[in-house]
Amino acid sequence: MIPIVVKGHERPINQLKYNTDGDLLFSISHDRRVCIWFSDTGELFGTTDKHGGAVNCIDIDRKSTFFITCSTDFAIQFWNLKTGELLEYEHENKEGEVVRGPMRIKYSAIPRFLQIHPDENKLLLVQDTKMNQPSAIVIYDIDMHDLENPVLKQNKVIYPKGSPYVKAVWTYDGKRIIAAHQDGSVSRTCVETGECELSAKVHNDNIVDLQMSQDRSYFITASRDETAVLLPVDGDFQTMKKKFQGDTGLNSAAISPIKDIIIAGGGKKSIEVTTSSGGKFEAHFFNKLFQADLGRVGGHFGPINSIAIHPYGTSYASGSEDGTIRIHHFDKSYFEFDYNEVIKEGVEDTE
Amino acid sequence: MSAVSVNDIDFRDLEERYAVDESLNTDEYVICDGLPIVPASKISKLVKVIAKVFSSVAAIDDVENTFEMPMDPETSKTLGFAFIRFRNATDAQNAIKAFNRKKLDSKHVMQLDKLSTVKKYLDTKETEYKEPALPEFKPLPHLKSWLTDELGRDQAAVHYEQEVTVQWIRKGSAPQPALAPVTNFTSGFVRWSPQGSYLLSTSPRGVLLHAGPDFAVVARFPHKDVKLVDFSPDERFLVTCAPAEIRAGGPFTEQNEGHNIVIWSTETTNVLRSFPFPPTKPVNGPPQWPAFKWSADSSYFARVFSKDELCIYSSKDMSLVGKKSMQTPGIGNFEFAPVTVGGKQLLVFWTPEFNNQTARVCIVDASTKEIVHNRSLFNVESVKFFWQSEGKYLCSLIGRLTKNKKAMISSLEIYRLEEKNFPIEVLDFTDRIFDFAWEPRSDRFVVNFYTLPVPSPEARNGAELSLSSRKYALSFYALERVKKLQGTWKETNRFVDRPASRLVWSPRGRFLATVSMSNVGLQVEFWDVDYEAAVTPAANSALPAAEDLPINVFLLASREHSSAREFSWDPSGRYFLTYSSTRDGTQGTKSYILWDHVGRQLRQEKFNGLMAFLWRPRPPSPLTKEQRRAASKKVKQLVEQFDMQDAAMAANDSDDLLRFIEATMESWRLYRKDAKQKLRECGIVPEEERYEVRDGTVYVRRDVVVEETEEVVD
Repeated sequence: MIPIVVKGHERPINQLKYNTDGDLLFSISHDRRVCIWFSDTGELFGTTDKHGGAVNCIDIDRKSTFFITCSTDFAIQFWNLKTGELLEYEHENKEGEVVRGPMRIKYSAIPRFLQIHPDENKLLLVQDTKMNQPSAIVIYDIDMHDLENPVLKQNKVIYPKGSPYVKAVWTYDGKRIIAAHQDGSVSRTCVETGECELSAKVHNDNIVDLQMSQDRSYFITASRDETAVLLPVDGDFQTMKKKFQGDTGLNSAAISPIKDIIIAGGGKKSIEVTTSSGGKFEAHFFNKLFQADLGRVGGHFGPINSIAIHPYGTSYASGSEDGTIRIHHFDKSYFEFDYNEVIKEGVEDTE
Repeated sequence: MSAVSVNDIDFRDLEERYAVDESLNTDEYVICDGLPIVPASKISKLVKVIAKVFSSVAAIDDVENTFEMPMDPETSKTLGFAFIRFRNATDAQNAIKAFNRKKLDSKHVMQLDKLSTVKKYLDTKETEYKEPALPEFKPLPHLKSWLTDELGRDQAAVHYEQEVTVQWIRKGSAPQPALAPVTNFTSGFVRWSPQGSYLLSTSPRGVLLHAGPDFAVVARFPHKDVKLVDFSPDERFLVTCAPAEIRAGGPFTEQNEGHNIVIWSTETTNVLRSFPFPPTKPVNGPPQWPAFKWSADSSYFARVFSKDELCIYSSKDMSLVGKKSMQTPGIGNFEFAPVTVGGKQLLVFWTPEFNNQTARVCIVDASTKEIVHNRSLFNVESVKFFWQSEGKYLCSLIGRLTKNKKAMISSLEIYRLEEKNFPIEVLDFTDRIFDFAWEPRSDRFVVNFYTLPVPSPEARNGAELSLSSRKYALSFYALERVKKLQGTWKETNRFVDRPASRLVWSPRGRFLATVSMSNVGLQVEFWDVDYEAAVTPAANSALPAAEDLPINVFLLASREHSSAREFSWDPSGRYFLTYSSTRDGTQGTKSYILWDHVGRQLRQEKFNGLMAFLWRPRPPSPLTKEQRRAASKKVKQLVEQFDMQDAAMAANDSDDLLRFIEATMESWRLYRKDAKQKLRECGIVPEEERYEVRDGTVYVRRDVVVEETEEVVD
């Protein structure tokens, strides 16, 4: 497996994301830029940099016509994927006049995370507690069917019961939200009532990443406490809990849609690297059912900040604090590997 | 004379004269009971004796007025008690502390009480005896239950991070928990008692003993902040030590105040006696531990008190044997015999040269403190003692300086304790001996020493020792048999260039592990001294194996465990364990390796923050020598049975694994079945049905919109 190493960012990568078809890979970074790559070859499709601060999160619609980003400059921006320009929409300006302008929504708090509803009629946004703002999930109604006349309307604000939100994702039915909290707990909230149905502490440290399986029926969290935890969306957050023990603080974890494999990545914090040996900047492969350690893929020179698996499960990309992205297309041996067979053979050998 | 009513008499002058001063301080008065009953003529002599006794703790100026001894008018003899008035309350307190319940002579034990204490009990209103409520009897759990294990497995306590677990160890298979991991089981450390009955844990308030199949708490000893513990060999006594001095309260009385070391009865949990640190304890340093050495049957214990006194105590009454300590100027060290030798509890100590006296090695009977054997030595620098496990032989390793006082040379002196007058055999070496070890229940031993490649006559004279050419050597010695009679000890095998800092025999003998420690870890060599096949003399074995010596040494294996520092045989001698722990100050992932007795690796396991891996000791076998011999004859028949058991076990292990795999996959399948149903209800295709992987190619099933119709409804 020879990785394709691409460099398009000057500063740490914040997030990697494939579009639904998996032909494009989006990367966002502290350097205010969004880069879009052809995932097969690693060629650059285009870049945009109309943000005034580090880009925090990105999401792409299913038909790959537009994408939404949010940034530390307090703005959420809606982009036309074909042109790389901001969409325009009609809205009221400060004087109360209806004007048409670029779709850049200024915000009172830093928007940390966003995700489009599976039915593409809603948008979920997690706002940061910095600048003395309360932590909250804000839900917008959106209508983007006509890119000439997009509509956006605030629908609901949900505040956390305990510890502030870090990330939040839609469940498969689109009626509930799974949220990760700073204290290491996860919660399930009903969108209609805004009430928290269930909350459980699964980590001893900050949760950094929360990713859904492709059918949004189970999810994985990655935490600085060196573990990743897999849980079904339904249920009591206890049954079918799978814990993956890494050897360093984790920043990201992703679920393969085609194989029983979890890829997690992280590394020592930059401030600790100089005081201890070995950063452990490796992507760590686990078996999903048996939580077994399968192997590691190294190569980065800084902690891995984001891992994304291709929607078809044929490749994965890792983005690092060092600004590089490594795209790995799996070899044939990867697809032929069956962990269950391997351990069963191991048992027979001992007999 | 007219009658005068009593009421009219003015007694004021008398009342005033004999008025009891309420403010009189009764604290300086002590009642001393248990004194000999003597006629009036001998009172002054007795008073002198007692005054002399007390003079060590309290100044007695005026002997006449200090003691008041009431007489029985009928017999005109004393009543056996005396009032003593000390100068002040402190002196009285000190006298009580020092001499209460102490022997005055062989027949009389003094009972000292403050007058105020007696008054207190006279004033008490309760006159009827009330039977104290007895606590409900709680049967102890089966203390030896682990020995009844059908598979004959051994247990080990594993202490890692905040958790303690006890595991059944059986060859390479996964350890079975005997006690599932318990968080905060102990605040400091865990220890097994010497026969394995109890598992000791600590808490800030004291120490706890756990026993029985579920390790329930069976005893508590409220000694705060205990840092060191020790048991007597029979587990009847527990010694605890804390850096803070004891204050009265709880189980402790005023007598225990200021002490640090406590001896407890494990059966009743009572305080039997407490001791302060001996004056030899270094300031701010840890005390010498164990504080006491115990005789084989735990009836005597002893410690060196200051440099010139050896104190031997009887555990029956917790007092010094013969009331006095032994004067042993400059005593080096001492060791009790590990078993009762000829019905006696022997101990051996040595004293260096002192005031024109030669250095001496003395063997002492602890019950009488009688020196049963005394050997004078010259130019001795150090002596170390090694008892053979059955008490048949005692070896003293003697270190002397060479003539130029630059190097140390060693010699061994072996005492045959079963023969009359303890005949001695001396083996001289040309260089230093590092370690010596008797094979358990045998007359063979092994030494580890420095040697020159070819011993030259100059080196033998102790001159011209070229240090650089010295090599480590390992020598095996056995007792020569001449026509079935015992001869002398002969070196049978010598292996040169074998660095080994520690020699550890398997508790069952025959197998030996030599361990050398370095910065990188442990190097362990496994030896068999009764190797069954013929051994061709190894290239580095300097001596050919003698035929009349019952020994056949063979190096079985040479192994390494990097970063490990700790090692131990299991009590049955089947396994050897090496492990790395956080005791060397490093944190992080530690590991242990379990070897079998011939040095094959059975299992390696990693533990985060492993602190200790402690085998549960076994009590001595109750089998007689004949029964043991009969059992070992049966082994050959049993081997087949054991092999079958092992095979069944291995199959069982893999069955268990297969079952685990099946169960894990089945539970996931069940969960997915449920999840798929819910997904379909929402019109979502579950991920399992979206893709198909064939020959390394992923085929994607796509939802294609075949037709889209729009109906406008008015």
